[in-house]
Amino acid sequence: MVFSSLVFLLKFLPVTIVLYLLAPNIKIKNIVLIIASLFFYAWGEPIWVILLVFSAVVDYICGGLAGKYQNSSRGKLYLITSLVLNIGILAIFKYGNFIVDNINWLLNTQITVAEISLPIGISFYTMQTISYTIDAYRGKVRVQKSFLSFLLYVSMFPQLVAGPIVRYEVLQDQLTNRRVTLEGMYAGVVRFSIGLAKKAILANYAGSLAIEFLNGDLASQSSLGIWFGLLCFTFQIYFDFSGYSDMAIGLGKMFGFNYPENFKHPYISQSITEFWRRWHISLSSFFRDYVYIPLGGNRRYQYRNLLIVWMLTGLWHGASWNFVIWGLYFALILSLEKKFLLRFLDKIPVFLRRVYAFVFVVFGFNFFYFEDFSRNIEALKVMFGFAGVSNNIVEFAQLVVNYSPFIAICFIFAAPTREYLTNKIKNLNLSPQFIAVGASICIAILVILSTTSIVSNSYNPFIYFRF
Amino acid sequence: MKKIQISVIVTFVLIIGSFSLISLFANNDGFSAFENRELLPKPVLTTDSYLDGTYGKDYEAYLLDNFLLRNWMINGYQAYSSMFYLDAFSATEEVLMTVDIEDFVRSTQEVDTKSPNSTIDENEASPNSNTVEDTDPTSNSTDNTTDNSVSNSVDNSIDNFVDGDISTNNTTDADEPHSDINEPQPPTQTPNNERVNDSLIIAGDRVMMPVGSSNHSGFGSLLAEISNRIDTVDLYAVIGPTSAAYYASENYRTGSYDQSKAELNISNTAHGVSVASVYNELQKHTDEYIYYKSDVHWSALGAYYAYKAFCDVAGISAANISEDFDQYSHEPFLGGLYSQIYQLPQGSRLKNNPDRLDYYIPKVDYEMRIYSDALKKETWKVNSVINTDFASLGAYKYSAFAWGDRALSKIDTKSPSNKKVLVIKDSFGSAFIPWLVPNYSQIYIIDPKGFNSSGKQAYDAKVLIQEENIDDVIFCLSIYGSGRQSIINDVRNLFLK
Repeated sequence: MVFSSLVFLLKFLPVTIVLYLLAPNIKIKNIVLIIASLFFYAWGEPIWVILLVFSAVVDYICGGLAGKYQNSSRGKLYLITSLVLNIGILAIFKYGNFIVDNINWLLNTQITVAEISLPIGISFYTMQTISYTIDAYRGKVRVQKSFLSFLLYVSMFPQLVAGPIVRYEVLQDQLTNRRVTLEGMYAGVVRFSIGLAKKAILANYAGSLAIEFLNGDLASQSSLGIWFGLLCFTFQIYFDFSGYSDMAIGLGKMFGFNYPENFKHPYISQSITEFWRRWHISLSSFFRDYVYIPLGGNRRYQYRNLLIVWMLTGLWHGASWNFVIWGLYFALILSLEKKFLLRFLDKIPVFLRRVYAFVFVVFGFNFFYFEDFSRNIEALKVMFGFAGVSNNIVEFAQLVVNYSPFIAICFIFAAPTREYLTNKIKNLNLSPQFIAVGASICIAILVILSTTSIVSNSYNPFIYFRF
Repeated sequence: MKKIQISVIVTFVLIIGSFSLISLFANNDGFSAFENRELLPKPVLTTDSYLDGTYGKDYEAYLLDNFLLRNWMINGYQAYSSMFYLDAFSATEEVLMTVDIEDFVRSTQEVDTKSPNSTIDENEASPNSNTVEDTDPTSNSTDNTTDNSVSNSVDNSIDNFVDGDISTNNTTDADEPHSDINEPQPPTQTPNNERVNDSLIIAGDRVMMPVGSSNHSGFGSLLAEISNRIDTVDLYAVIGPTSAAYYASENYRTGSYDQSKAELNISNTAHGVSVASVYNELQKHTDEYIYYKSDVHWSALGAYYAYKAFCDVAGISAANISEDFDQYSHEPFLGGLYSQIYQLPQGSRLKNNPDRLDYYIPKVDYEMRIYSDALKKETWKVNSVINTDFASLGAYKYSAFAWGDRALSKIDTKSPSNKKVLVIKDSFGSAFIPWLVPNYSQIYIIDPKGFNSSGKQAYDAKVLIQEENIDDVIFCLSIYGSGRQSIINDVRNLFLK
């Protein structure tokens, strides 16, 4: 089930919230959430609930024992067991076909494996369970005695299928000690509505434009057309993914949880280094803390470490070489920035720094969008004028003028405009009644327009659903 | 602060709660006229459907399809999303919208087998409750959108002229061995050819469909074979171009197929068959309303010029459009191509400047019968050659002509002529039919998709020709349909199986 669906919005969410509010104590509330989460997860592919519960059992046991014998060789054994099992599950279910394809290609063999559909959210909940066991081993978190509480942590539907990757240390107290407050419910409703609008209105529209420019015959597309298509995809993926994170954070607040931020307006970044501090924060911080630093971080083999981390980051996004290239592309830029580029960027105006970072991000999505390597190359050729296709400047100018309202809206909503306006409104000292009416109207508009978009676009895929 | 919080939460709960309540009441209509398709039924929950995940997907699709406010929301979405787009060059801009043309043309499959009024069981007499007064346009206002109950028979086959899914040989165009390789290539190959083939062309407030790979030589050869086999009749081919042939720019006019060459390609191989010069005749009238802007078909007027081209080649005198017919109009009319692009920003151009559907009723007396099948088990008599129950036709109002794509129908006329004609047609041919009424005493109409394929009745048109002493056979198809292997197969099965 996805948040931007009628089943979720009009059936699942109202029923779950009512049952949750009716539950008399935290224990029953947790049971309500577990049942709701497993139902949510099982809606599309019930079979994979078994894998989810298995993963939870493995790390409940291994994490518990690794915590009990923390920082000892026995504890390490349990930690390694957990890592082997978790990474093994990922290798089989997410990367199985990719691995076999590459073996066949390298060794010229004909090994065949059954096509397995990727279990939804496996990359997210596996990261969460790994983080628990590692932190338990390190003594950073208390061992969770209650399996139900641990199952709730692993399966909680708001962040189950698309993040953010919430580490156990963030939630360990909230699992048994939280309250639904008016303030939390309000913040949750606002955040959820904004996320829904980002996804249902902006991401879907941007996506339809990206498809128009990038899915056809690339050789007949002009280079400016492909750049424009990538720009649209850049907005699509941001509003899609950050919208989903907003909805997750908002839903968490409705149930009394506080999830960490996952996006902080990444497109206003002044460097790629800053971009990755603002984009999918829960993933980059996971790799920083559990891979980069243990490998030596900045202290030794920094560039090797960067290479490994970004290769893994790319691979995490999908079992395909284009994602690896996408990761290595950022490894290269980050290395250059560390070497000298950041010092150079410091000397140029902020606006140019932002343009620099944005252009490189947009360009990078070329490697992300085209999973087919030959199309990737074809797109690159066209983008840089090596395909012999001339640009029709008049057509492009028309395109830009026509879509300028949408592109302007995208830039406005990708920037911290809401925070800016909120501060401005606070300073106006308006009456609470006036603000209440205004805020309610805004929420009503967002929810109605989003639902309208969902109903109108029956085909409503979520890009990050399968990662 | 508390007031603000409560107000926002209550607003959210009220909206979601209301929508949730509304979602309990499914749209009972069961059919989306706008999209020309049946709405999805409620899926049945079984262990298998739950475990393989199909129930979840089907239930979401069912909810979306049957949401009571769906049409309102579709319009609402179009209204607000049009604000994302400036449309500053609506007069001059020409763009391609990538679509799955195969899917588009396959979207409606079957000939219509439903009763024009399902409640009436026919045998002769009163085929539908539609009284003569109800349907007789001469007694109505010019806009017969009415409520007459003639037909729930939304013709599911508006674009059936391009239908290709019921080929008996199960041959698709893609695997057709000789598809289009015999055809001369268009003189101007543009780099956009491939893309044009997979696109609709939007130019100003007009949407057009180009014609991709076609096998008109094959179609011509088939007609020659039929001519050899049946020497008692005169055979004619009346082939309708799509509007892209005349109104698209040079860049987009041809995909991989130049429509101006279709008639030549057919006549080169269709020995014994007279091919009407439709392309050139229409070319003379491009400043008239011969094509819809929002529909893939020609207008009644366009079909009239095709009829004139036919009369020229057949050596008969064409009926006079104003003396022999009464003209009526239905507007606004937004056709099938509009429903393909309504979500695009350019869609609002069409919506704000819709088409007008003119139709012409022959003054000469006639009776039209629609048969359920070749055995004529059920017969519905209709009072007009035009289905004027436009309200029931949704976006596919073009199917008003000759009641859409029916497997078999017949018109008996009081024309002084004693000649009989059999028309083999796709949906382009529908608008052509009314013009023949003054020239023939009997008109048989067959849609080849209605017979001989899987699940369809076997039928041999030669038997009809012999039994009814047919004089002329006209193949009135679109350029797209006549070049498609599936249609060629259907025609072959109808005559040569």
